[in-house]
Amino acid sequence: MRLHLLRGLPFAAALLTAGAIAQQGPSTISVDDIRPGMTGYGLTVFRGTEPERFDVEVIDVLHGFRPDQDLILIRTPHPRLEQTKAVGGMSGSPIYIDGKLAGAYAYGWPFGMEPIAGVTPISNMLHEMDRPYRPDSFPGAEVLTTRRMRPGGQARRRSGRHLAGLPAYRGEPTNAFAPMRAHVERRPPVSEHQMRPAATPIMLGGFTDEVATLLGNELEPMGWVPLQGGGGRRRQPAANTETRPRFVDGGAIGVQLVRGDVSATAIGTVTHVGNGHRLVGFGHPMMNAGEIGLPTSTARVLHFLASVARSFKIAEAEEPLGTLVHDRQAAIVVDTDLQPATIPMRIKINGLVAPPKDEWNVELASHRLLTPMLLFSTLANALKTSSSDQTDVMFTARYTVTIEGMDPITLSDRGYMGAGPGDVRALSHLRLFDLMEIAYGNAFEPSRLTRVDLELDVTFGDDTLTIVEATVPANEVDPGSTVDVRLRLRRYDESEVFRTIPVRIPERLAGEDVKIEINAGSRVGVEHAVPRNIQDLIRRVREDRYDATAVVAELKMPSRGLRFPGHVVRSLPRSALDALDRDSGTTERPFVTQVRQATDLGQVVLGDAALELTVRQRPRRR
Amino acid sequence: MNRSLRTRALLFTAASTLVCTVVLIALPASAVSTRHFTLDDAGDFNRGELDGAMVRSDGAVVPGVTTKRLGLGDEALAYSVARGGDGSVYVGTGDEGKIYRMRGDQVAAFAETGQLLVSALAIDGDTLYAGTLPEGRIYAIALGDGSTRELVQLPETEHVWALVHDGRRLYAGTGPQGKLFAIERNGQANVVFDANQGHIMALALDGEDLYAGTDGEAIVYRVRGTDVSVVYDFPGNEVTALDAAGGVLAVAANDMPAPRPVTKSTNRTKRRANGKGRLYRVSSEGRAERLHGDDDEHFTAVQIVGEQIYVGTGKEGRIHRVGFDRRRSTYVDIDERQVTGLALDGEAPIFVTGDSAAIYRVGEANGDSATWTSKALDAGFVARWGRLEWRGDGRIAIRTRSGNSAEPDETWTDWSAPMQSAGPIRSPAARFLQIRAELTRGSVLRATQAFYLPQNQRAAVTQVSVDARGSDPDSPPSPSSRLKIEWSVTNPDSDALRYRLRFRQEGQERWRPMFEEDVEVTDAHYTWDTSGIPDGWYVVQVEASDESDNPGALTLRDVGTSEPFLVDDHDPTVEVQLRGGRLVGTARDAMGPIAKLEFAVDGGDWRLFFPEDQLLDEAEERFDLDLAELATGTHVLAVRATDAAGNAAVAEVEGQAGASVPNP
Repeated sequence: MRLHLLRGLPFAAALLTAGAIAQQGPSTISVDDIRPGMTGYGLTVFRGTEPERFDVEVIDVLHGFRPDQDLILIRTPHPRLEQTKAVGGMSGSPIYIDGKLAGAYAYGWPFGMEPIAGVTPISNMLHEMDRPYRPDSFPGAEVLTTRRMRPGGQARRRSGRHLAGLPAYRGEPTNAFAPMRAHVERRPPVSEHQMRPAATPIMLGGFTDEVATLLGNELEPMGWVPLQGGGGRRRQPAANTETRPRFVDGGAIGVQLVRGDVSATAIGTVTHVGNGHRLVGFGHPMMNAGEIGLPTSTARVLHFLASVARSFKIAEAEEPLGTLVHDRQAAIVVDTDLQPATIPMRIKINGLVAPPKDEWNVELASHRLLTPMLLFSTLANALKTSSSDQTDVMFTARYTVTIEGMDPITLSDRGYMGAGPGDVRALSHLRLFDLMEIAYGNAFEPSRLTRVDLELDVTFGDDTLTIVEATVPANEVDPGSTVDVRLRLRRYDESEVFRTIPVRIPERLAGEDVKIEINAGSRVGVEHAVPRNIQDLIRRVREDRYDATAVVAELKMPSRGLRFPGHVVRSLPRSALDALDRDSGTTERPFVTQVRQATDLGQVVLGDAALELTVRQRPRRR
Repeated sequence: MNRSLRTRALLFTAASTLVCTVVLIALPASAVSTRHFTLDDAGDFNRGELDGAMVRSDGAVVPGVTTKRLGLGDEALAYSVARGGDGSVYVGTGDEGKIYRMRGDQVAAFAETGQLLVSALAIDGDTLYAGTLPEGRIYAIALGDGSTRELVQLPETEHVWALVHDGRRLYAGTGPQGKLFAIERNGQANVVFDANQGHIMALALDGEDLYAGTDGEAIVYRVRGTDVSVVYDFPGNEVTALDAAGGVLAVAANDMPAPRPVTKSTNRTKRRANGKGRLYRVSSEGRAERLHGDDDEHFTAVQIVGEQIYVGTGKEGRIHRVGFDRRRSTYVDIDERQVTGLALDGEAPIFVTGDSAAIYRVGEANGDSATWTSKALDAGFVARWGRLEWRGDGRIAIRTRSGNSAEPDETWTDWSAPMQSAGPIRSPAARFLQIRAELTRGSVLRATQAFYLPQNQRAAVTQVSVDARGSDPDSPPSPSSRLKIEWSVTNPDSDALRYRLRFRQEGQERWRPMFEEDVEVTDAHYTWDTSGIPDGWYVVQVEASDESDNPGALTLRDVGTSEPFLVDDHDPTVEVQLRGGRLVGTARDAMGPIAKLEFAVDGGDWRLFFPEDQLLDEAEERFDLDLAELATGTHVLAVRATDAAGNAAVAEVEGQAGASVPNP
């Protein structure tokens, strides 16, 4: 393998050095021994897969840059780097001082005028390389050799949940972007004057410009820069360890977020390959997510692009290899002997005439923050690629989500895209994303999403009815009577139709002024019991909303209800409310009881209206 | 309860009269600070805690019943209760919809419904029926082995609030549609009556009459076969509980407050609005008679036993016993907030509670361990305790304990040794006192009284201000030798205060009294005539003394001192002459400075002018005023000088003045 790599190398001597280091264990230089003016070199891939040297000169050492971590400031007087300054994708490039490994090229200043970078000391990185991980951290991962997964220091502890730093999911309606946005909101803001990790380019393959932009907007706050790249060659991980590709010090490494018909790969550089199955790279965290389990690959650099705004490597993934097991302050750590579980996803789009492609298959990295967003992006991309029409579209999304150890969950959502298939926002609210949050973030048990199959039936045309107005014959009504509410509805062609829906006035509203809210079924939420287990959460998603073709009349009652674990109780008499809403107990805040009456109109309903009625104390005598 | 001895005569009788008389005589007339706590009516006694004792409506504490608390595991609340033919008691609970069986003192889980709350229970033969929330399901449970089957899920029903069985069929009072169902043994349910109210909360069976109480409007209906009639429309908005026996119907009708508004605030206040409870007895002729009312808490359960009606309460965790003759007593007082179910009939009376869940077994009323404990009585300040008196019959022992926190805790003293007769309280001085009476069989406590002397509190003179003239030289006050002195005092125990004022000139050491000792100043101000003292800077001291309310040894005093202020009761002098058409002269004051110079021409208006150096800042100011503006001729020119204390002097001169008068 090494001979293969050596062929055609422009800097064979440098690679031999790197290879020798890899074999023998690194000869390192301590930060304490580094002085201003010392010189050395770094290794990174400027093109292809082979690392090349670039000169470095030590400016000084910044002590205490991070907790228990110094930073070596260097100048990189390389002709290419003089142009590009800090380069996305170079993160992790090993830096040698006096012939010894000093650390990883990792930090830069945005809009810096000089080729100056911050180097994470190798001692901090090697510490991470040796860090064990909990055996339950990567459910579904496969060990490629006969070695056993090295138990971590906390192996005897009960399996923990991996909630990605977010609160446990308790059943609130969510969407594809909510977890990542919640995560970003929790991060402290970074000043433009602060030194920050060199940007991590995310090479996108097979995405339309719109979806790439959409994805980019979500990823940029993480320090990730989505770039239109290539999808890479599709290869399966080699089972034979002798023929598997290898990582080398200074070589490019990809973290594969999506692969298959579309791809998204984060690009960085390997700092040092250890003697065992591990390597360190990046010199800074990717998400600082700790034990994370994302698939990694070797990568090939196509070009080293200089940009006034931000220079970066254009690269693509090569061979799937290993798992990102630690995402830490000083480094990412990859275990090349571990193949992570990914989520196969199949998307089938029906109803389009001769689309260029109607079935998409991808593998998604499995992570609470990333997977929903990546899934949505893939779905949106499939739809946009299949049809760029900008006419009204009705859709029905039928999907089956498989959570390990449970029966597949099949749901169906109807919706409307007002500006054609390109208007994909409606898809971000599929209940599919609620199910994903359950799989990743439920409070009750570790669980794992294992597969998603989705079929999207698309129908061109606007089959919606928008509620314009609701009226009643008289604003004073009898308790216990049924009122005919006349709805004025607008069709897509601006023509109006009228429908009458019966709304029963409960006797309990006698003597009250009541507001009746008429809402589209898809907009009506109902009170749910406090979930007790993952099944309760799934049940809640199944029963979460009225059908999109329903119109729902909601009447606020003068009584309260309470939510309990597993139960919701409504319309409580006051003494019973006093008894059940205890000082000591698990009840949650009382809610206003609403009486809801749904009528199916057979077409997707949009909009809302409201009525105010006075209910007589007693029915009139007839 | 905390009353002054002056304002209230003791009404103790018999053996205590002599003692009280002695106390009255022994106390000096001025000792108004000796006070007492008197507890002598049902309200006073009900504010305390009862353990095996009862408070009667006539204001007597007597031995009552004992209670024994039996736990209910981790249940949140017990809500319903039914007694089986073999004496076993079944208790419906929440929040897991379990039923417990109590045999003797043994309580064990008996059945599970999987619902939130077992809200109603009824027994017929060997079957226990359990009504539940929130899906309107009723279960039939075999009393033998607890095997449970769903009898029926009632249509359009979420709550089953009440169940009764008449031997033929089961009746269920439900919500939220207010329907009364009749349910056959096979589970077939028919609506007997639709109250058109929110809920049918309570049912009671008396012979052929089935009574149903509603919420929304607190109405009791009578259902006899297919005939339905209104028995009574009670004040309030909820009939929460009913019981009927022998032609008497007992009704717990409440006026419940509107639920708190629902907000999105994360702070959840647990303060509850009180409901108002009313207990009625309705005769077979339909005459409703109010037996008891409470504006501070609502009633949750009611049961007729003999000629007594027991009613459970929803805030203080009590059971009141009310006789048909309206005589009432607080029968039981427990720590739990609510009494939710009563089964006080039979040989093993029990009741159940919510918040938190418990079963209480009610024991024999033997009085061996009956105690009444007062609430912590607040003396306002640390107090020295005097005598403890009580009035009653039989053998009563009284203990006390004291402490300085409003709620008795580990910082309080232990209970004192029992007092068998009136005598000095043995607890050490403290702000709070608690009294415990231990009653024996046949004993009656009617009143108790504890004397105390609060620790005298020192009044503090916080500020002394003098209406000091001359503080604003730009606007001198009217000249006067009367100075107004005012002071502020904090007086924690509101003792009557007497003030003494002293003064001294700045630089002197000795304070001189401002007035004679026989002058008694009790208001916080004084006007001082300074005409008898030389001009100068002075300081005033105010002493506040509570000697009027406390004997000499206990009198406390405090003094406050004013800022230095100027006494200037003498006029300045003015010398003036005309020199070459100019008005020149000097104004002088002993205390200075001169505050204002004015001149007037020929008796005209006074006009301000400035001294030579333009500054009014010295006791002697020279002036030189050009009179060229005047018409040439003879004029009378007057100069008035005013000092900082407002004293003024005028001098005049007559002569030639005006533009043509040559300047020498």
